[in-house]
This record gives sequence, structure tokens and C-alpha cells, in this order.
Amino acid sequence: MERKSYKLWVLVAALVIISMVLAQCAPAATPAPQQPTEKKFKVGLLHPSPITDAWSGIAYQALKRIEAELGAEIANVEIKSPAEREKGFIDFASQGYDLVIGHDFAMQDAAEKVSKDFPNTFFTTTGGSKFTDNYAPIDLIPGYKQALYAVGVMAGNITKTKKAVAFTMELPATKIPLEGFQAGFNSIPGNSCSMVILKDGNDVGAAKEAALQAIADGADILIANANIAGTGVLQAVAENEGKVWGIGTIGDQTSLAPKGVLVSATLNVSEALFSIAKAVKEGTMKGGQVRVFTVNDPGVYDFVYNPETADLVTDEMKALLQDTLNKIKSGEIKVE
Amino acid sequence: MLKILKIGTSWQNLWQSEEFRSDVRHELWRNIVVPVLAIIFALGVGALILSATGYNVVKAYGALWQGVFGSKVNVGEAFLRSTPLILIGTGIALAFRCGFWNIGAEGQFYAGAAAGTYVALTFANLPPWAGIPIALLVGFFTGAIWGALAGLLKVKFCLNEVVTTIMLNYIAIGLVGYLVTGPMQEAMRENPQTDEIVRSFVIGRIFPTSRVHYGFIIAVVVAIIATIVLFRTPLGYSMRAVGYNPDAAKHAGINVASSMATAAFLSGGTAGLAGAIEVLGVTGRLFENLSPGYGFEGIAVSLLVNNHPLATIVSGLLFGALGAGSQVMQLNAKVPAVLTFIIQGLIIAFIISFRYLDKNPSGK
Repeated sequence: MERKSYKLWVLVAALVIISMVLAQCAPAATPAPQQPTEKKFKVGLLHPSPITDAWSGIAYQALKRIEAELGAEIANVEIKSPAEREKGFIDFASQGYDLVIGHDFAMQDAAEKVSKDFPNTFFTTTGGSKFTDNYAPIDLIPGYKQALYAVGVMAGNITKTKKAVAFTMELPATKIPLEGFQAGFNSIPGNSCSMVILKDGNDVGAAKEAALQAIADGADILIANANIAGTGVLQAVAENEGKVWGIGTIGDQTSLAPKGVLVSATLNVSEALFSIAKAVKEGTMKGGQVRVFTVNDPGVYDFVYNPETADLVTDEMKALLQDTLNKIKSGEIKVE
Repeated sequence: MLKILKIGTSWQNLWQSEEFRSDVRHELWRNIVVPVLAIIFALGVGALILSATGYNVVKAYGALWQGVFGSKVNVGEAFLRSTPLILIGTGIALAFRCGFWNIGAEGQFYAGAAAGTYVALTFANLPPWAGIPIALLVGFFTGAIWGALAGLLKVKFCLNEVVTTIMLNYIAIGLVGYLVTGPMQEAMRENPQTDEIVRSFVIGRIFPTSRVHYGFIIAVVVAIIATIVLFRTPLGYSMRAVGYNPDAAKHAGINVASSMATAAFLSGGTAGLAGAIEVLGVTGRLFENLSPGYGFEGIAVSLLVNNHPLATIVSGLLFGALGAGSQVMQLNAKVPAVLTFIIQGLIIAFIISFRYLDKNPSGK
């Protein structure tokens, strides 16, 4: 009897819910018939994590800018599993999207495969090495290596102990740019920059311990490009302010060591994605290649100086960095 | 299970039995009516949330429907996504029925994926008829060994399997991270991934118009075999007896340690097989974050159907369909991903809640 009564309750509640849903589903005001308009530029984004996450958030910012400045119709889909990638590209392309951005190097196989079936849609991925006539992945690493070379030259002129340590992981995307810093720092005679490979990009504590060890060994310039673990290096800098200085990477990291960061070399992925969308809209985007970004691409690589360390990063030092950049741009200095 | 499956008698005699009719009614109630009501409730609450956050409910649910049943391609997507979930859910069902709380399917999935990829890359010259089965078998056994490790730790040293399987997850995921940045990294050494497997190792598609591959058939067959093993063999009887009451099982002469180790082995094996199938059928290469949490989702897939291996086909398909539908819901109705995940979660939560309301003994 008891069971029957609760079943009845459940059924009644179901009916209530259904009626509520039906009420919600009441037809809205009939929209006015639309006038035939010019085909709208449509851009889709596939991102691997929620847009509240820093990495996907960058791409979402670019998408919103594409909507605002290029007047594009936009949509974004979060990709949870590898199985969803190919379908994500197909869904966008089959609905006539002009550009589909896959914000993950791991999406390159799917982009390459789908691009062959949808020649009227352009595809790009953040990272990747494959390409087709209408698919070109973007490679931001070469330009970032160049930018960090220039920072290395400047830091090489600021150091007192002539020693720097770069912390990274055994990943080309994080390691190669720091090789640029290393080369720039070592270009000053007598300087020595070593590289420490961190095992875990999430282990902030281990990175901090490694940084403290480097400080004990006499290094006075530290730089990290190692995901979250990199913050541990700047924490060590913050604890040794006045005698050790840090370089921020990817974003502005001044807040992690307010009196210790000399400069942050920022990587504006959002700008790169925007420039791709702009080129697609203007019909100048070329497939069949990896779209390599360098310091010649405006707005993608930038430098945020810390006013608290202006006594070290003087105008003269800033000019030195800019001069090095100009030489890289002109080909006088080759960073390879 | 209905008594028709347990006793040898005619349908007519059975139907005249009030007890049997009551059984049928109850099975229909808990396996069809309850899930349907739960889905209605969840969609209702979801509609309220969508409406409150300013989204068009009709458009959103229309897109969800479109995403699941809108085309052959979309239907195929649901099948494709359900494949690893059915396999893992089946293994979880076997383990949980035996009282072995395997939380390590995620790690077992990675272990199987890594082993399957290794075979595909190393023995690339093998013909498909030999290469694919070997890669899948190696994936199965690697996952099985990974699962059996936790099983042995439990039966030999009485170590809590919840802790050991979770720790083994971390180890397996870490190992894959090491492999794809070290010994198994692609030849170009640019990205943390392996090279792509050769075409002869790619599991074929069942229909040319859809991405669903033969791995789905394997998953269904595995679920059927697991059901037969669990309900129709002495081994399955032992496993279930240990799950009900290990002390009573021991006194009845059942080797509790052996049953648990076997359950851990088989459970890990199906997860490992899922990993190998995912690489050979979907991704084509191994990389970090291969799994979006299949190992944990598989637990929900199994619990949703009271750890019945055969029924994981249905719950796996439900999860797969919701995943496929939510993707189209994001695209067409511009509903944010978080809301689509909330609606998915609501459906599962309501089904489980309704089961709790059902005071009848759980179906074994």
C-alpha cells in the first residue's frame, strides 16, 4: 500500500513537471519574416575544457572579438572526449561555417580528416603539423622563441652573478621557447644559463624547491615555462626579492613576485586566432601549410614591464630588447 | 532477473502464477517506467533551469533530439560514444557484484590503450585479421593485469582496493604521460603523442555513413558473455556469492580470494580492451588525456542498472546519446556546455534517486 502511494505521488509529480515543461514550451511570438541577407561569416570553436579555464578562455576571448569586430556569427562547443572531435568539426562544417577553430593540437587528425570532405570550410588548430588545402594549423612556438631570445639578451645584461636557470618540462611547446631565452642570455660573454626539466607541470612545490636550489647555487635570474609549476619558481623569486629576479611567461605574471619580476613575455594566442579569422574573411588565408607565427606578426608577442623593477629594467634595457627584436625581424639575428 | 530465466516451466503456467505476474509488473516498473519518469523529471527541471537562464527550451531540447536522432550520423555517434562506456560498465558490474570496488577503470583503460598502441606501432606489418585481434587481446590482458594488481593487494595483504585502484590510476596516467613524451613519442617529437597507427590496424566502420565501428559489436558481445558468466556459470555464482556475503561464501567452500582476484582481472580486462579499442577505432594514436573520465563514467553506467552487465548496453547507450545530443545542443541552441552537462547529470541523478525510492530488493 505504501509503495502504491509513492508511485501515485511520483506519477502526479511527473504530470506536474510535464505541464510545467509544456508551459515553458508555449510558442513564442512569431518572428517577422526575414529579408534575404548576405551570407553571414560564421566561425565555430571547439575547445578542450570549460571556457572558464585559462587555455580555452583565451580562444573564447578571440571568438568574442571575432564576433564583435568581424561581425561573425559564432558558436562554441566543448569537446570532452577524443570521440567528439571529428563530429565537432563535421557539425560546424555541415552547417556552412566558414572557419572552424580546434583549440588543441590533439584535434589535428580530426581537422585534417574532415577538411577533405568540406572544401568550403577553412580549418585551423592551435598546434599541429599536418595540413590540407583548407586546413592550416598555427604554430606559435618559433615566434615565442624569438621573443624570449630578446628577453634573454636583456636579462643577460642585468644579471650580476652571470647565472640564470630556465625551468621547463620535456615538451617541445614549453622547452623550445626557453632555448631561445638560453641562447639570448648566453650571447653575453661570461653568462651561463642552464635548463632544469621538471617532471610534473602541476607540481608547484617541486618547482619551488628546484628554484630555491638554483638560487643557492648562485643564479639571480629565473624563468619558467612549465604550466602551473612555473608559479612555484616565481614564488621562490618572491621570497628572495632584492637579490633574485624572475621573468614572467605566457601571461603577465608580475603579481606572483611584485618586486621580483623584471618583465613578462606574453603570448597572445587570442590575437593569433583573430588574425586567422580576419584572413579567412578577407580571403587571404592560405591552406597547405603550417601557419608559423614570428615576431613579425603584430600583437601576438608582447612584453609587460614591471614598474617596481624599473631601476633595473631601464629605458636603455628596454631599448636593447627592442633593438634585438628589430634585428630578429630584419634577419640580422637568426633564432633557430 | 525474472524467474522465467531461472526455472524450467512453460509460459502459460508461469503467467497463471500471481507471483510471476507481480514479478513482471515490478520489473517493468523499475526497468522501464522508473527510468522514463526519471528522464521526464530531469528534462523538466532542466527546462526550468534553461528557461531561468534565458535559453529557449524548445530550441534546446529540439537540438538535443536532433543530436541523438536527427540523422544516421548522429545515431551512429551515440553508438560510438557508448562503446567504451559499455565495456567499462560491464567490467565494473562484474567487480561490484563480487564486492570488489574497482575505482581503477580509468588507469586500466590507459594501460590497455598504451599496450594496444604499442602493438599497433611495433608490429605495423601484420595483416588486419591478425594485427587488430592481437592488439585488442594485449590491451585486454594489460588492463586485466593492472586490475589484478589491486586484486592481489586486496586478497594477499587486505589492502583497501578503493585506495589501491585510485593510486594505480595515477600511476597508469603518469606512465602514459612518460611514454608519449619519451620512448613512444612521435618521430617528429613535436607533440606529446605517439605516431599515428597504420591503416591496417584501424578498426573498420560498420556503416559507411556513420563513424560507429566494429568495436561496438565487440562491446555488446562482451556484455553478453559477461552476463552468461555471471549468471550461468559456477565462476559467476561464486563471484556473486562472495559479493553477497564473503563470510558465508567462504563457509560454503567458495574460494573468496580467487573469486575476487578473478573479478578484478576481468574488470580490468574489459577496461583495457576499451582503451585499445578507443585507440584503434577512434583516436588512431595515444596521447595524454585520452580519456575524458570514461573509467569513472563507467561506474555510473553500471550502477544505473544495478550492476547488470547486459543492461550496461542500455545505460551505456543512454550516456552516449546524451553526450552526442549535448554537443549539438551547444552548437544549435547556443546552450553553454555546463548547462548541457547539468541536464545530463540530472537525468542520471533522477534515475538513481528513483531507484532509491523503490523499496523492493535490488535485482540480482
